[in-house]
Amino acid sequence: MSAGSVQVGRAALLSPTVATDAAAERRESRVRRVAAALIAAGFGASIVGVGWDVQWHAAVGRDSFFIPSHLLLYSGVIIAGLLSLALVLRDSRLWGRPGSGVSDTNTVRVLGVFHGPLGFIVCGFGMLTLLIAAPFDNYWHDLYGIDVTVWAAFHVMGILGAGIGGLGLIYMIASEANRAAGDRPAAGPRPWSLLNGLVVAGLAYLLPAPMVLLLPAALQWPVTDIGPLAFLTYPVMVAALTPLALIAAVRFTGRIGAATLVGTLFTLLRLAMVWLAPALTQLLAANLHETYRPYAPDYPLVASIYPAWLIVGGLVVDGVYWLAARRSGAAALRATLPALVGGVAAMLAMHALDALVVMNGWNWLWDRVWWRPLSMGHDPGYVAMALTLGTLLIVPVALFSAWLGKGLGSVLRIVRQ
Amino acid sequence: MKQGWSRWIVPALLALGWLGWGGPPVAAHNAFPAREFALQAGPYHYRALLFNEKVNAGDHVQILLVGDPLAARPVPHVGLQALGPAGATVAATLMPDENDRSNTAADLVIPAQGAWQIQLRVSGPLGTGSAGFPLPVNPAPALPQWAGWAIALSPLLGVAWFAVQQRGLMRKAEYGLQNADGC
Repeated sequence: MSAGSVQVGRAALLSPTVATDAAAERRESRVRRVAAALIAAGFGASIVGVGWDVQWHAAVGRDSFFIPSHLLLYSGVIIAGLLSLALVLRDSRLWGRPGSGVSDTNTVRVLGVFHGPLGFIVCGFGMLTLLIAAPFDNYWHDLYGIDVTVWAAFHVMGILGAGIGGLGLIYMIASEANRAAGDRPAAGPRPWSLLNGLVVAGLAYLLPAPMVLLLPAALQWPVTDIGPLAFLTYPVMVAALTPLALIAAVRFTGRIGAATLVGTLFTLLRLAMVWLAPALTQLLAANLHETYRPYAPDYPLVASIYPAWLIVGGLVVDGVYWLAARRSGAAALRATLPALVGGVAAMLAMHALDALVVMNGWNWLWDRVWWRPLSMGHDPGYVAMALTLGTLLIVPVALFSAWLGKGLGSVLRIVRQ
Repeated sequence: MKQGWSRWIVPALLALGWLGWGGPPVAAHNAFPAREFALQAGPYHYRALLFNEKVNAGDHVQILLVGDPLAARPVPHVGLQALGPAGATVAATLMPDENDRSNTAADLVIPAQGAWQIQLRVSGPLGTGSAGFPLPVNPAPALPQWAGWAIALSPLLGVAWFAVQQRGLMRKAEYGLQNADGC
């Protein structure tokens, strides 16, 4: 028997198995993508539900757990939670079976028993956190009334769960994008494919859930007092959340422009919420014959605390990367320094633009902006200290967030499970 | 930094938590009042905005006193206290309101359940006067605030565990990217 015929014989023996495995993995990928798409739709419903819920609480009240905004919010959570659970249980059952397409190459093991895609496990954990928070939150409202601040224990727990869930969704899509890319080297720019674009969109829509935490920073505690010191709360919190998404987007795609895309997608959501939250509240209040509370806000509550200048922040990040790339080529997109400088510069630019708006009284879109209360009779020395310390604090907080974003973007480039 | 970044996670989270927490300042109140009382204390008219929809024993009660902007000058002296069912008295801490310093923010902790009365006393160039409103106080909740926060923040343990698990993947990613540069 010639060497050639041996080769042919091996191919005849191996090819069907390889082909079957490849087909099974493609089938498994299709299942995961459909599940991820449904989870993303659930998250979309929840983001709108949160904006509507905050508006409803402030305008009408929280007469029961089963108010429409809660139903929208929690239906999204339940969809995401059940799908994550179902997929992990399914993959745990199929794991290791020949021809199932579920193996260690596309799952991780959890608690020694379960096997599933990392993104679905993380998302399931987030949704479980959120669902556990719900009855406790109801109990908290029973104890403390309808006007419990957003910075209440079980609001924070719910928001934490939503953030974890959002991170899980990004992992789901990134792992699909990486497996679809095959064995392409990890370095270099990624093509603008649908899956890569969805990861960037996921990073933009990772922000709305934790940004609900900004509400008290804008309305109740615009200044944080620590002994004799005081600093503006809002810009420091924005600096903790935002660079992460902007830097991770550039790091993941390896492309200048990704941060601006994150800013643009987030701004589109912000504009949608400007219209949606008050409109839905008004429509339903009218249909249910609910009356507005005496101090009902006449402006979109959640949208007003979303950062208004995220497109500018994205442009600044991309600009810093562009300048770095001119000096040292494509390697600049993978370096640490541009990520850190870009993150800090973006936050300072957004902060400066907010200041410009407030100082000129341009309230056409930014009603109740974060430091409006400071213009109402505060001592100028106190205002100057709050502003100066707030600006200074942006730097270390944005550095940390940008560093996390750099790490997240790097991991998203290679995660396959 | 790259080698031992996980060492910094806990202090960094604590620092961020400290920054984010800060603690509610005395003069700050919730965003929207739950109830409003019109008080006529002698010649002075005040609106008292109560920010707690329900008050439990041990809670901070947040009240904002809004005076008549056309009231006599100099601004009258204001005092606020809570009178308890068994003759107990709790004086409020008064400060200029954080959102509008021409108003007065009051903060007081009611120690026990029962039918309490909030009493406003005003003295100024037009004379003195007092007025009040009732404040029913529920028993202290079975689940204290600290326990609520401990439960609520427990998922952070999972997040920390996940971050540590991802450390290896990040090292691999960074290593791959650096090798691609020929470093």
